Formats: sequence, C-alpha cells, structure tokens
Amino acid sequence: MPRIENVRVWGENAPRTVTLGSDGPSVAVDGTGMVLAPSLVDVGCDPGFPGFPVRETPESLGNAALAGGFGDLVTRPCVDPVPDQPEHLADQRRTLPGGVRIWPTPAMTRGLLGQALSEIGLLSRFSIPGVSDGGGAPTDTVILRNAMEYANRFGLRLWLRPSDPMLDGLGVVHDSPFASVLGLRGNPVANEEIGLARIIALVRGSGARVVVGPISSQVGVDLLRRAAAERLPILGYVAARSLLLDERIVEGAGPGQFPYDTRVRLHPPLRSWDDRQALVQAVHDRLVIVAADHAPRAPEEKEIEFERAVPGSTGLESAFAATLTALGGDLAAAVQALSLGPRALLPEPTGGWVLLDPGAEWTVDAASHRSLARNDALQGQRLHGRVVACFPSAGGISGARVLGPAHE
Amino acid sequence: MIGKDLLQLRGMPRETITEILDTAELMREVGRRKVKKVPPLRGRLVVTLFFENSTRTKTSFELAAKRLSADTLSFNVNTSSTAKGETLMDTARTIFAMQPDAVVVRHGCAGAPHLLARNFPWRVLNAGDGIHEHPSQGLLDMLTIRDKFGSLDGRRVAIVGDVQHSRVARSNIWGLTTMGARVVVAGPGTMCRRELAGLPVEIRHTIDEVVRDADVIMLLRIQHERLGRGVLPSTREYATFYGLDLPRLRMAGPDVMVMHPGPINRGVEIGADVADSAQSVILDQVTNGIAVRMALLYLLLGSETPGGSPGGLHASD
Repeated sequence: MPRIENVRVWGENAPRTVTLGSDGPSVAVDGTGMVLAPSLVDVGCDPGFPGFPVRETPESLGNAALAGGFGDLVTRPCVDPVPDQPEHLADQRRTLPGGVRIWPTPAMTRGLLGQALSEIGLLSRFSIPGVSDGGGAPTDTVILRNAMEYANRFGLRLWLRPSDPMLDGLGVVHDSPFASVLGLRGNPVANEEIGLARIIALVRGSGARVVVGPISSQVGVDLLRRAAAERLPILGYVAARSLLLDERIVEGAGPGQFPYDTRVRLHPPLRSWDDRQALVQAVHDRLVIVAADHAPRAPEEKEIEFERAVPGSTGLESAFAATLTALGGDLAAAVQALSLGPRALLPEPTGGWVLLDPGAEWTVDAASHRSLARNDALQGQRLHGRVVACFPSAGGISGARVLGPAHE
Repeated sequence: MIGKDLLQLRGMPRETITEILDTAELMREVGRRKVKKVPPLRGRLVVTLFFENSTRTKTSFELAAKRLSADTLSFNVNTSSTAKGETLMDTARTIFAMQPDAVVVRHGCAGAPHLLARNFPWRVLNAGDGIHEHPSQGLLDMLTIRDKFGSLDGRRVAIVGDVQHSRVARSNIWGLTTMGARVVVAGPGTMCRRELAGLPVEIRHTIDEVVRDADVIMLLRIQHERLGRGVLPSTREYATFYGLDLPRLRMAGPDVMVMHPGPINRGVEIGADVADSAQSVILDQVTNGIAVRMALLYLLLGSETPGGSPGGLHASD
C-alpha cells in the first residue's frame, strides 16, 4: 500500500498525498517534483514468448514493463506458435508477474502467411484489441481488403505495418546518400509510402479501423495527415527511439558508439534528420501516438554482421524518457502519446498509474535493464525524465480527474 | 600513424596514404631482387580469413606476408560451414586460439571487419567487405596512377560500371579524392544511383561524357550474379553503352591509363583489344598489389617487431 507524498496527480495542479491500492507493504515515497500519471501502454510489443526463451520470459518482460512505466502491452503475434486460433488465446496468460496486462493481437491470416484469414470471429471473443499482420504486409491486396471488411464486423481493429510487400525486404538502412557511403543497401521511403497508401485506400472503401506503424518518414506523416483530414479511422504510431535517432547513428561517430552497431539495425530503418523532425512534429500535433516498439533479441541474433542481424530494439525501459526528451520536456504530450492515446485502443477500461520524475537525467545502459535482451538502440543516450515506479493494478485515485482509462 | 587496423580509406589522412604508398615503393624494390624475401615479420602469423571466393587478393596477401617472412595460414570458410550455423564471431574465436598477429578478412557483409577489429586484439586488414570498401585495392590503384603521373593531385579519374555495388570503387573514391584527384563516375541508372551523391563524386550517365577528359579510366567488373531483378537487361546491352572499346579509347587520347581490378570480362566492360593495349596497366596493378600489401603488413606489424625499429628490409638482417 504505497503512499506517495507531495506528488502532483495527473490533471491536478496542487501536489498532495496519494495512497495507491489496498495491498502490499505500506511504504512512503517522497514525490516532490514528481507526477503520478496513468500508466503507459505499448501498442507494439514483441513479447518473445512463447517460443523465444532467449529473448524474453514472462518474468523479464513484466519487470521490463514495470521499469519502463508500462501497465499494459499490446503484443504482436510474432511468437511460436503463431497465435492464429482461439485455442492459442485460451492458453495464453494475460497478466505478467507484477500485474502487467497483455493484450494480444493474434494473426490476421493463418500462420501470418497472408493467404487465408484466421478465425477472426472466434478470436474476437477473447477481449482482444484487434488482429495483426505481424509486421509483414500481405502480398495479396485482396486478402488485406477482406481482412478489413471481415474484422470490422466483429469490432476489431487491424494492426498493420505500412510497407510494400516487395520493397519491404530491400536493404538494411534508410536508402540515402548516407547508405551509399556505408556500403549498405537501402530501404526506400517508397516502401512506407506505397504500403500506407494501399492501407488508406482500402480503409476508405471498407471503413475498417486500423492502427498503422511504426511510421518512419515524413511522407508517412503527410499521408496520415491527409487521412486524418478525411476523418478516416486510421491511427498511426511511431517508435519512441525514432524521435531521437536518425540514420547517422549507424556511422557510430558519437562517444561510446561504433560503426555498424547492430543495435541500430531496425525495421523500418532510422531515416533522415528531416524525417525525424516530421515524426516529432506529428507527436506534438497528436496526429500519432508513440510505441515502445519493444523487440528483444538474443545475443546470437545481434552479435553478428549488421546485414545479417535480426532487426529490432528493446524499448520498454527507455521509451518514456526518449519521448519526453525528443518532445523537449512536454510532459502532457508525452503522456498523451504513450498513455492516454494508446488506452483508447484497448477493448476494456484499464487502470494503473506510473510515478514519473520529469526532471531526472540519466544515461541509457542496457546492462542494467530488466529485459533479458540487451539490444537497446538508445544505448549510451543521455535522456531526460525517469520512471520511478509503476503500479499497474492500482485502480482509481479518489479525487483524481483522470480515473484510469480514457476509453472511447 | 596507420592505426591498429586497415578497415577503410574513408577518413584516412593524406599523410597516411602517402606513407603507405612510399613504403610500397620500397617493397616493390624487394620484389625485384633475386632473393625476394626479407625478415621483418619473422615469427609473426598472418591469417587470411576469406568468406568469399578469391584468388587474386588472397594470393597477393599471402605472397606479401611470405616475402616479409611471416607465417601464413589460410582459413577458408565455405558457405556450407556458415550454413551449419557457425557465426563470424565463433570462427574468429577459433582463429584467436591460434594467436595470429594479423587477420586479413574478406566477407560479404559491410562492417564485418569492423566487428572483428572491435572484438579482437589482432590487426585486421579488410580485404573487401560487402559493397563497402576494399582498401588495399584502392591503395594499389593509387600507387599505379602515381607511378605514371607522379602525383594524384588534380588527376581526373573516371570510374565506369556498377559503382553502386562496388567496394573497389568506394575505396578508390575516398582515397583518390583525399589525395586531390577528381572522380567522375558513369554507369546505368541501376548501377550509379542518385544516392551516390553521398560520395565525393560527380555522376554522369554516359561513358562518352567521362572518358573524353579523363587521365585514368577505371573499369569495374560486371558481376553476372548481380544481374537479376532488372539491374541490367544483358551484357550485350552493357557492352554497347558502357563497354570501353577502341573508338572510345581513342576519344580519351593516347595518354589515358586504363585500369581494371580483375578478373576482366573481355568484350563486356572492356574490349579485348583495349585490355591488351599499351594504355592498359592491368598487370602492373597485380605487381603493385603485392607491394602495397607488403607495405600494409609491414606498417601494421613491423614496428612491433621485438628489439627493433621498423627496419629489416635487408636480406642479411
């Protein structure tokens, strides 16, 4: 039963003392200078289990989420077996040690092969936010259109990767003059532009509700802006790290960095400085939300050649600070992007609080992360804002204006 | 001055390049002797670790090491053992147990030599990493150009072909421009993409535009395995638009130097008569390759020789 003294509760002005929950040891925390906000929600999490015990275990994922202030994780179906049947969901645990909740988005197509629809109706009975393409856009546009029309009828969203199925496999960094210098093949922005344009066109025809991301480029932001102007039900998200890093990090010229560091082998790749500015602006404008885009990888998947390394970076433990830093300390925008915005995508109201110290400064060191994986692309970055504690199962706070969820 | 490893020519200072080329001239003199062996690397172990097929570069490095009296060990990693699951790092750990002083590595991925250099104490010499760099080739090309023109400063070098996927081109571009040369490239749109603007080159799209006022024409090998997915319709088409034939050679003038990293495709990127012409220095490149690699091994390892300053170029030492 933690008691936090002199803390500012989200939505209030004057600091006060707050008691959270009714169980656990009674401890007092000095919350001076801190903010108690609704806990964060990751809308793009590779859980690593079942199937990849070297990436993450339920314990390590739960601890990583708590350390990063996340009370809820929307998980991708990139696990083994691929969750594409109701039986998979019936077996899956939905609460991690520490009380962090899992919201699975099962495979939109069987085995994520993009050929036949999963039993989306039966899957929808398990309180899921939607179904997912698992990060690989289906080649067959007819399947994608049918998935939209079918899932929509069951009230489910679709989690989609904005990419062109053929261009998506091209290159390992952003296609640019800089890639030419490094001798790495580039992935063009056209990949995102074509993929997103296809999704937008199909949403216009089907009315399906779609979550797209990670958005990586200015072109992607522009397309989302037009879709929003049309009031199409498309919500984009960006990865927190892409608000701080751009393609130049691959050169490894900064202190503590080195060239071809596989931690910055990401998919989509980090793009140009201009792209990064456009992403930050989109968050400020509340056009997009922010995901931790947590993708734990085992050492043997990363301690290899850059071009062969498995793309992805952990994100849970640095996402909040990366976002706050990139937004220039705008806490309201950060909480909107990482907590209030994503909460609206969950199928049920959710509680949970996070204690934030916006004034703290720290340097990311993955060696001290709770995640089993050490592949944080933000390694060595100096960030502002720290998560002090997370209380995922704490319910409402008396008198607080934000009572848990901002459910639509 | 040369640093721990030889990974790339990008960022290498002018003085270092000059030092390597000057040393290579001394080494070339060793190659002209009756006894072509000197002792400075006696007892040192140079491992060649090649993950891609190579005859020229590998034998050139091995011969260079032998002429400096180093022991050599050739570690060929065929694709099947990689397929069996051994990672680059695991292979390197095996080699580490053999206590090498230098490892010459060729690998299909950009940055693979950097990975080894960061994780192991031995000197790493990049013998080609993916499409990134092939620094010893760049240096030997620069030595060959310097031989003829005396200096690289102000020389106009035209590189023709698949610059996009060429590590030879990248190393030459960085090295040559550091030394004051001007580099112009030409090739089909798929092989000289706009993204090459990140390199210090001017991009042209026809060969005629670049050969006309070139001092040096450097031709790149057309790699048949890369012709899939619409990079090039056919070698005939390439030869027609980008091959260096006699009329184009005449356009360039009698003093132009024609280079090719080998092995050549006669009748594709280079006309048979051009390859055998007086302007072609392809065989000089091979000779200079040994000298440059001797210089690199000597500069990277020689100064560490116990009990001595870098010297030992006399057979009697």
